[in-house]
Amino acid sequence: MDEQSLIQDAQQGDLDAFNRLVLAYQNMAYNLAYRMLGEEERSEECTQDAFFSAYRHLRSYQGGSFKAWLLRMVTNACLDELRRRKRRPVIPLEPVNDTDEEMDSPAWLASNDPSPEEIINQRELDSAISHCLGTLMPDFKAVILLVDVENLEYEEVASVLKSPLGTIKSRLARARLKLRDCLQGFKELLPSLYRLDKESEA
Amino acid sequence: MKSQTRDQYLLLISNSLDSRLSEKEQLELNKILADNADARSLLESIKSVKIALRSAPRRNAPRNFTLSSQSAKSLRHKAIAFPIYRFTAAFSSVAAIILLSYSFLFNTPSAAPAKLTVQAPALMSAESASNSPSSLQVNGQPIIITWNSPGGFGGGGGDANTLSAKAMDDGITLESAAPPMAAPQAPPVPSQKVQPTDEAILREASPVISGSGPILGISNQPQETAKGKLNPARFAFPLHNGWLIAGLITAVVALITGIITIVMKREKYH
Repeated sequence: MDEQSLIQDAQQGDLDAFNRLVLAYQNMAYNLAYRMLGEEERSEECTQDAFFSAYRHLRSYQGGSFKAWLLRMVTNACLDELRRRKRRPVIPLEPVNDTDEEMDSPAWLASNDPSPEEIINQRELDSAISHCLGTLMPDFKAVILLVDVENLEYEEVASVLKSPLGTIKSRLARARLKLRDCLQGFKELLPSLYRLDKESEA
Repeated sequence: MKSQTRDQYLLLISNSLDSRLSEKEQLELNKILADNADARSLLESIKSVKIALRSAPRRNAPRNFTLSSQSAKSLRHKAIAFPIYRFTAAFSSVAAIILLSYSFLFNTPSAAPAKLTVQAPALMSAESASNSPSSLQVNGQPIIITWNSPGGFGGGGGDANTLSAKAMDDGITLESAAPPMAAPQAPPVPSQKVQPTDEAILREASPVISGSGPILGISNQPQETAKGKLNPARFAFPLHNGWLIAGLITAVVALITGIITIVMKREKYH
């Protein structure tokens, strides 16, 4: 059964059809939430909230990209959570060294697990990206994730975030620049493929 | 200047990575890249950021987020209840504001005595009630109906005659608008000539007020009449209190539904 038929059935109250849509998109939704929030537990809650919201507002869906429509629910849930965090900030637990001093982030982000090189590289990249995404403003983070991770078109991102196309382009460029600056601090940890200063070294 | 130029080609570089440049913009970017080493470096590094983001491991959902029939039913009910509560909260808030404003601003205390004046004939003695309204005038003068206290509870007014315990206890005292004693402003009454008695002359000479009546408008009589029944006029419910109570009830409804709406919104039941 194709996606449009499932959506129509779900709009008419068919819960099984809706659940099939959930199964098709839940990994994408959770991945976006995790990249936005950087926390597994809250990401899970936001993903669930997004699907609840999608179920309640399914009748308001009037065609277009269902993926973009669903990602709007996820993005809104994550932005709400980030705003809540901003109102009630929490202090993350940073690891300390023997002298009770906080260790620099790039150092403690490095994994010491004895695992194959590829897995280590992936973990390090994942940690570095998560850390650097955390330094971005929520709106900038949402733009870069929707474009570079979820492969949405600019117009779709503008629709998801309800912002003008020019704003999306500008935010994307600035977010990429800031992410580049942050990732350059991890150049020793990143696999050679992702070293950002290879041009200058050459 | 350099920063502005960098901002300009940063946008071009970013758009070029997603193939969003027009031919003219592409030519412009090519020219910048040919002349500017910083622009070339920026293009490479931002391309690496894009590759890194696409290559980052994807997180799979730790569990299924499918809805059970029970949770779907609950969501539907809450989705219906939320707009109802929201509308009720908004409507009752507006209603409470209107009712309370009306009660406090437009129903001034002067409205209450007007109602008591209307009720007065019903409480008059049978002899007085049997008379026509025109017969309620004494010697052609309009009648002032005073309830319990002469000159109102504010103290002050009245003369020595009305400031007596007897006048207070009767509940209603009918007196002429013209003072019983000749006043300079009062027109003379043609049919009757008031002859000042010795007692009146004595009172005029000695303004000391004596007796067991109230002082400064404070009644020393109990709230009950001689028959042990409450005086209905004293405990009459003023009209503006009805608006006030209605406003308060509406405000309570607005508060309760408002709290429910906020809780539902925080719990994302909308």
